[in-house]
Amino acid sequence: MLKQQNSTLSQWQRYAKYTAAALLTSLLIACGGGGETEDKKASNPAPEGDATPVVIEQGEAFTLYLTDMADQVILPHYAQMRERFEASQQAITQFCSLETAADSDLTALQQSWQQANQAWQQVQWLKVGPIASQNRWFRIQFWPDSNDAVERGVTDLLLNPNVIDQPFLATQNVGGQGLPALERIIFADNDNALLVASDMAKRCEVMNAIAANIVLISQEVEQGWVNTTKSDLINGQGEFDSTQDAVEELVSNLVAQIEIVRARKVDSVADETRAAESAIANASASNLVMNVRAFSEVFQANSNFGLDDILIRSHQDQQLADAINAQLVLTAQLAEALDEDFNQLVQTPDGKAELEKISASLNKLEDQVKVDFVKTLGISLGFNSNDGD
Amino acid sequence: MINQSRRHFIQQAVKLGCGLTTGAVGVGLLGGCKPLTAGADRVLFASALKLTGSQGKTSGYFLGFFDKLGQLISKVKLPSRGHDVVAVPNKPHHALVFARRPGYFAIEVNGLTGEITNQFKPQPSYHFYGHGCFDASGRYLFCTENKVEPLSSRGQGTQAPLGVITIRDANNYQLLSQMSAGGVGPHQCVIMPDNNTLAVANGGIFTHPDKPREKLNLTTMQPNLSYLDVESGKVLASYQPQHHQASLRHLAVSQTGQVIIGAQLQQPLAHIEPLIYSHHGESKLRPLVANDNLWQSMNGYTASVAIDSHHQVAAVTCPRGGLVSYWDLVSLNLLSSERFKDCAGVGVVKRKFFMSNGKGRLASQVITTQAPAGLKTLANHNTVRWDNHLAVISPVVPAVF
Repeated sequence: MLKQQNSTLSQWQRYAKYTAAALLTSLLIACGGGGETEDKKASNPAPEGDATPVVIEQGEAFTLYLTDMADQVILPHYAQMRERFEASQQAITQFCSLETAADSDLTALQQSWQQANQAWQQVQWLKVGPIASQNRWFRIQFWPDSNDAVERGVTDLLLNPNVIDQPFLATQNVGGQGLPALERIIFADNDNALLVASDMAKRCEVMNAIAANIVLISQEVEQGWVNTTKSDLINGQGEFDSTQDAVEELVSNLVAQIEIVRARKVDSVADETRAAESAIANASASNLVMNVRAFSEVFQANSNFGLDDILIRSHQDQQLADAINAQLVLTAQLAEALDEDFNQLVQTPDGKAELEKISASLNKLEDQVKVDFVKTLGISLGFNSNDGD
Repeated sequence: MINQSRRHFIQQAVKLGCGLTTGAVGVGLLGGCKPLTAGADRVLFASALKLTGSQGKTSGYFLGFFDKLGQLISKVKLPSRGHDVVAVPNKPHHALVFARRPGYFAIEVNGLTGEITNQFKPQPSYHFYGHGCFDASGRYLFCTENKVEPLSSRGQGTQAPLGVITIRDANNYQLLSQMSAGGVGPHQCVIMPDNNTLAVANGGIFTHPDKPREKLNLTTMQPNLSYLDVESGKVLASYQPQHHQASLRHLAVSQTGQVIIGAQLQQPLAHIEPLIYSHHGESKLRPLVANDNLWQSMNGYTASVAIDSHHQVAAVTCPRGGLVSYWDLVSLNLLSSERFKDCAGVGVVKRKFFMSNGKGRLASQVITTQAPAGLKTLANHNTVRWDNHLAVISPVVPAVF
C-alpha cells in the first residue's frame, strides 16, 4: 500500500474533482466506483465561502505537479518495486533451500513473482531518469519479444555449464535478465515445472542470478531518483531543459504508454498477431489493470496536484479535467471487468468484444491527452517525434 | 537526362577539386577553393523551423540560419511548413528549402541577410516530396516529385504510381528533364561520388494531396533504395529492406560511395526490425548491427543521417526514441547512442556532428570511435521547434566560378 501524504489541494478542489468524476461515472456505468477520499493538505486554499479555485500561473503549477509526481507517485512506486523485487529474491532463496518443495511452496513463489510484476507494471510507463539508461528498462522486462529473445536467453543460461551469477548474467542477452525470464522458469509446466524438473539446481542458480539482477537495477533506479533525478525533475534541470520540458516528458511517457497498452497489449492480442504479455503467468489482465491505474495516478499525481489541477487552476478548464478523469474511470472499470484468463478471453466473440471496448476507451483517452490536453496547456510532446516526416 | 557536353563540363568541374557533397549531410571542402570575403567566412547551418508564441501557439514556419555557436543569424518566413534544406553551390551562404510533402514551393535564401533570392514551384499537377540535391558541379538540381492524378480516377487495385526525379538548371531552376525515381514515394536523394549516379530513398508509401498525410497502400508497399543513371535516366538497380513496411526515407553517402539509409517502420509497435542499412555495392542492403533493444528504443523511426567520411562514422537521429546513434561504417557496428529528446537534424563540420531538436536545442558532439562525451549544448531557443533536417551552408565559392 502506498503511503498517502497530504497534498496541495484545497478542500473545495478535492470535493469538486471527485464529485464530478463520480457523477460522470454513475451516468456512464451501472455500477462503479468513484474517486478516492484521502485527506489532503491545502497549500493554496480558496478563501472561506468562495468556490472559485485560485488561479495559478502555469509555471508554478508545473512545479507543484512535478513535486507531487516525484514524492507521491514515482519515488513511492520505485521503492515498492525494489521491495517487491527483494521479496521475490527472498522467496526464490527460500524455495530453493527446500529439500522437497510442495505445491504450496511453488504457489508462494509464483505469487511473489506476480507481486513483483505488478509493482513493475505501475511504473512501466516511466522512461526518464535512471531507468532509461544502461538498458535498465529492457533488462527488467524485455517485451515485446518478437524474436523469442527471452526463450533463447533462458535456454542458454540453463544449458551453460559455468556458474551463473548476477555479474555474469548482466553481460548476457537482455532477454534472459528480467521478469519475463523469471516468469518462464517459475511458471513452467510439464517436465520443466519447478516441482519436477531434473535440473532444479541449475534452475535455482539462474533464478537467483536473475532476481539479484533486477534487485540491483531497482536499487540503482531508486537511488538515482533520490540522489539526482527528483531534483532535476522538480527544477527542470539536468536531463530536463526546464520544468515545462519535464512536464512534457512525463506527458509524452503517459501518451506513449497509453498507445503501447492499446496497440500491443489489447489490439495485437485481440487480432491474435502476438501473444499477450505475461501470458505464461496468466497475468495479462492484471497487467492491464495496473497500467490503467498508473494512467490515473499520472494524471492526478495520485490524488494530489495533478494534470487535472493544472487544467483547472491555470486554464479554468474544469470540463476537460472532468472529461479525462471520467474516461480514466471508465477505462479502469472496463479493465477490471475483464476475465482474468486472458488466454481464454481472446477465444470467444464476447471476449474480443470486451477487448474492443477497452481499445476504444484507450483510444479516446489517448486523443484527449495528446490533443485536447496538450493544446490547452500549449505544450509540445515532440515536434519531430509526433509530426515529423 | 544530361547530354554529353554537359557531362563533360561536369567532369571538368569535378577535376578542379571543388566538389560539394549535397543533401542534408555535410559539406566537404577540397583544395582549390577560396573563401568569399574576410568577415563573411563563417560556416552557417540552416533548418526549417516552427516558431511558437505565447502558450505554445504556432507563430509561423520559417527557414532559420545559425552559426557554430548556435546564434541565430537570420530567418525567413515560409508559406507553409518546410522540410529539407540544401546548400546552394556557387552561392556562399545560400540555402534552398523545400516544402514538406506534399510540397509546392522551393525557396532560395541568403542566410547572411535573410533575403529570398529565388523560388520556384513544381510543374502543374506535380508536388515535391520535401527533398532535392545538387550534383557535384553545382550545375544541376535533382528534386524528388510526384505526378498527381485524381484519386477518383484510380481503379480498385491500381498500383501506386512511381515517383519522378526532375532535373533543373541550378542557376535558374528551370526544368530540364525528368526520370523515373525507381519506386513509389521518393524521398531523399543524394548524388554519388561518380557524379553520374543518383541514389534515391523510395519510401514506398503512396500518398495523395487530397488526403495529404494518409498512407494509402500500407499492405502492399515496396520501399527501396534505387540507383539512377542521371545521363540515361535508367534505373541501374534497386534494393529492398528486410521488411516491406520499413519505409526508406533518408540517406547519406560517404566519399567512398557507401550509402547509409534510415527507415521508418509503418505499424512500428507490431514488430522489431533493423532501421538502418548500409549499401556499398553488395547484392542486398546490409542492416547495421545492433541488438533488439536498440532497434526497439528507436520506436520504429529514424530522422536524419550524416556521415563523417574521415572517421567513417555515421550519426542517425531518432526523435521518437529520443536518441542519436553513432555507427562504425567499416564494421557496421553500433559505436554508442545517447539521449537527445526529439532530435532530428544532423550535419557534419570539422570532425563534429551538429544537431538540433524540436525543443529548440542546438548541440554538437565530437566525432570519435570511442564512447563520446556528453552532447555539448550550443544554445536553447525556447520558442523554436527545429524541424526534421539541417544543412551545413558553406561560405566557400568554387574557384572555377
